[in-house]
Amino acid sequence: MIGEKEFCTIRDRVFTISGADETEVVLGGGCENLTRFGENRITQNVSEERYDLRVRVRFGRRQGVATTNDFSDGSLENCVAEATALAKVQEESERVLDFHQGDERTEDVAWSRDTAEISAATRAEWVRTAVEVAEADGLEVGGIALTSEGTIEDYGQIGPFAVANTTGLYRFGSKTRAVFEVSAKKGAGAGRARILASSAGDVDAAAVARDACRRALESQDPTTIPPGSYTVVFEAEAVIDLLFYLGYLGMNGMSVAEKRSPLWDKLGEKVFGDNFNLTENPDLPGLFGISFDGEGVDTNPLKIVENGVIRSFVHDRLSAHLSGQTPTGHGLPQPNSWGAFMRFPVIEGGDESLEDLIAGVDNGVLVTRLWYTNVVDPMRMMMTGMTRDGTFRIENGKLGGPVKNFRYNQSLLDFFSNIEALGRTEVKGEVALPAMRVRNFNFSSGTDF
Amino acid sequence: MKERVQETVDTARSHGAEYADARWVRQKTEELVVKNGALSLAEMGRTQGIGIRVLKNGAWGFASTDRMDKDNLNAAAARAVEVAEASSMVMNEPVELAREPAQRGSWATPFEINPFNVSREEKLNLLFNVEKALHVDERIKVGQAQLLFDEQKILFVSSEGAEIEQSVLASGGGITATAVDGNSIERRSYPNSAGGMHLGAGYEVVKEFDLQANADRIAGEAVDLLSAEQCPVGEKDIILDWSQQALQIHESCGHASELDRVLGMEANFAGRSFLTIEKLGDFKYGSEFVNLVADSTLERGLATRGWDDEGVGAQKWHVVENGQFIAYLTSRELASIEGNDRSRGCNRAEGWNRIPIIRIPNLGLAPGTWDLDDLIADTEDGIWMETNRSWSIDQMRLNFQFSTELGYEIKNGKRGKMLKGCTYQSRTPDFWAACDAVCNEKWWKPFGVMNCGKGEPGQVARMTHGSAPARFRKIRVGVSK
Repeated sequence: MIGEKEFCTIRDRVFTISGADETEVVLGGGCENLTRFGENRITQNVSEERYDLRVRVRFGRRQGVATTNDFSDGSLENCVAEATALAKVQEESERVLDFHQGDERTEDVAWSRDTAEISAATRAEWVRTAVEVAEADGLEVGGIALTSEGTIEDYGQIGPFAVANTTGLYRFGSKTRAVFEVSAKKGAGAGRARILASSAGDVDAAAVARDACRRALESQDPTTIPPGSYTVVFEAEAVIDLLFYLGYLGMNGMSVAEKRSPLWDKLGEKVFGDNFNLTENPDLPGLFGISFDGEGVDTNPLKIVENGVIRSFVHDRLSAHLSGQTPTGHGLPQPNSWGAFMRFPVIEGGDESLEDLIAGVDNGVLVTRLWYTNVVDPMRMMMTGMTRDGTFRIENGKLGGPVKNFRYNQSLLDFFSNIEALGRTEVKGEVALPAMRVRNFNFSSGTDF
Repeated sequence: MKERVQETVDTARSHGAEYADARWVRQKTEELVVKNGALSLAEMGRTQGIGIRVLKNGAWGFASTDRMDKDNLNAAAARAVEVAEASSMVMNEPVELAREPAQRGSWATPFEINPFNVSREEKLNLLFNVEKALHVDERIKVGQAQLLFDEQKILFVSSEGAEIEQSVLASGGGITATAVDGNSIERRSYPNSAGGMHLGAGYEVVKEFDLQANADRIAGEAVDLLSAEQCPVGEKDIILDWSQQALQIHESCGHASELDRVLGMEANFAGRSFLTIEKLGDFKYGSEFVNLVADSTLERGLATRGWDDEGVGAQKWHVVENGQFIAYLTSRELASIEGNDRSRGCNRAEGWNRIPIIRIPNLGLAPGTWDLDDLIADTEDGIWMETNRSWSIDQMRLNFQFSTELGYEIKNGKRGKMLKGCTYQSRTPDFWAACDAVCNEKWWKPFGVMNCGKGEPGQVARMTHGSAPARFRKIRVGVSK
């Protein structure tokens, strides 16, 4: 794993080579080890070390970027030359800003030695434990055992762990991640459970496997009930996708600046229900991540929605500049077309247990996970997707039997206005949110299983 | 480099690997995006590294590194063996690879104009001019024009004696106009959505797209959509264009026929498939007009190569023939499950840092007999749906809901008014069974997919889905609630 000393050597070399008005280096990547299993056996097992260095140069109001993972002198010289050539063929643009000025800061609150140094054999032991739990009840399990150090993210994309520029800004963050995820199956029943933690020591493989297997056994022989509008209790995991899209479509400062967000003119207005409170809170115990963004702007606590009223959007420096707002530390490395993303979102919970939430439903559904969520209409925040891995009927305040999965079509504007009750906030990796009971949730069709 | 890669394979063998292969990949990417009159992305990317895959005790191990010195390569080879040993702690039967003669050779994507030799000034001039042309109306809030070129040089060496060099090139781009008016937002893209159209070719494809000539039309359609009628709710005959057909093939046939998914190896992430083993050769996937052909030799295909990433030569075969499901997409590990002694050559990796997994090859709907004008004339109450906008499908690849950027009503054989919000929802075998007409070869075109995600860790793959417009009877449309 590249440490601070090596990063500083690379930074100094790039700054020496570059003749730009300003130069920025952003380093991401690291080591990721992932053991994958299915059919009660390990099917794939990989170990990766990978980095991505982005060099951004600014000449007046022109900028260029080049990337490399070869940190030899010749490669760095070539990288700076390519970024410079890209900048110099451009016209001046007011959208090219001076680089972020800041001090020097290093953080390692999300780093744990036991995760960084874990062996392939230990991950295989986690899997063996899960398989033993499953086979005891005749189930089949698949899943992942992942440990990583650095910023290789879920889909292979690389986030930044170090940012420095020639104004004197310097940020270096260390982060580890342990994920154990189990999907269990028996007949038509399916269940899934997982743990995401900064420390591998927090992984209780047997407990995760038992949760997944219990859910799979509970969801045997699902029946069909008609699609329609139901009161639905969502476990916290089932809200994660919807929260992501709320941020992407609605709270992204660039979408607001370009008037593509349905909330672009709603700052200070009440849009959601009284009981919907959304913040960004990197300080919440248990949430883990690196608390600066792709330009080195610190991500500080931020009120986004208070009692249903929009208090702020999340901004990178460009969207803040275009909107007359302050950057909030939610940007990707610049330049990009995407804008800003929530990084440590927290939905404030209530004090109801899952049983309490279910008790308030006469005729409804319990959803434990959503799948393949996608946008149907961005201005209505209309989403579609499927339920998965355990969907249950609720009748007269009690959990009934399993039902076959549904397709839903649901506006997020309505969803976060129709929350009837909230469970306790649960930390799920880099997000924290509660289970919730939501009225008038729209299931549009069913499927075969 | 060959010596170093061979030495890495030898090192893995010296640590006890029964089989080892190594892929060295050097990748070069150029991406340019102009948005609202400014360059919003200008990036030259280079990455190189090596991935080592081994079998030890009959179980897989894989390690990769971008540090190409001898010590690091040897350490990575040892790590791959250590990982395989851990895999063997939880295994059933040892992995047995289907036989494949050790290949030695080279292959390169044919192209006319090397995109990396085209001056940056020419590319930027094109993008700025085309993007400017999208702003035909103040309601166009976002105009975007982009180009992407990607070249991978791959060297594959195996302990069975294979030594293969390939140079794989992808080129393309596109334009998008987003119109906003109050609470309505509409988007039009050309030649395709999701970043444009890409093919296995050189800069000549950008010239063929003629982005400039289409900018005005696309932007005008985006503005017109703001006041267009909403797609009706009900059952209609629908005719899908090339872009939507590509998505339809990809999601409902391509992923459904991946054998690793069928066996549960993707269950935790991408899901399983309804095309279970007992259905092979004995399942009516669609109507007699449905012929879905996998072709790793397709001209300009994004998945066209001489060999896949475990050294299996490119092939062409029917997945669905006259409506019957007859074949899977396979790898050397899983070929025997299908009853074959040879892999169909579908094992590909995103880059040097990823282990090859079964990926959709180029997969197309074979042309039928209809002329498009005749097909529209033959449709009494239908909708023409054009350019994919949104997609979602369940984890068994059955229930899906897709939508397009644009639609046109078809009434009594004539194209009528423009429609927005065109969605359709169905169940895969029902949908393909409702196909009663496919247009002929004159209308057949390849459409590339650049963003196919699968696997843990996630891998993005590229492939091409060729088709001609096709008609599907009595499909549920206008589903948005």
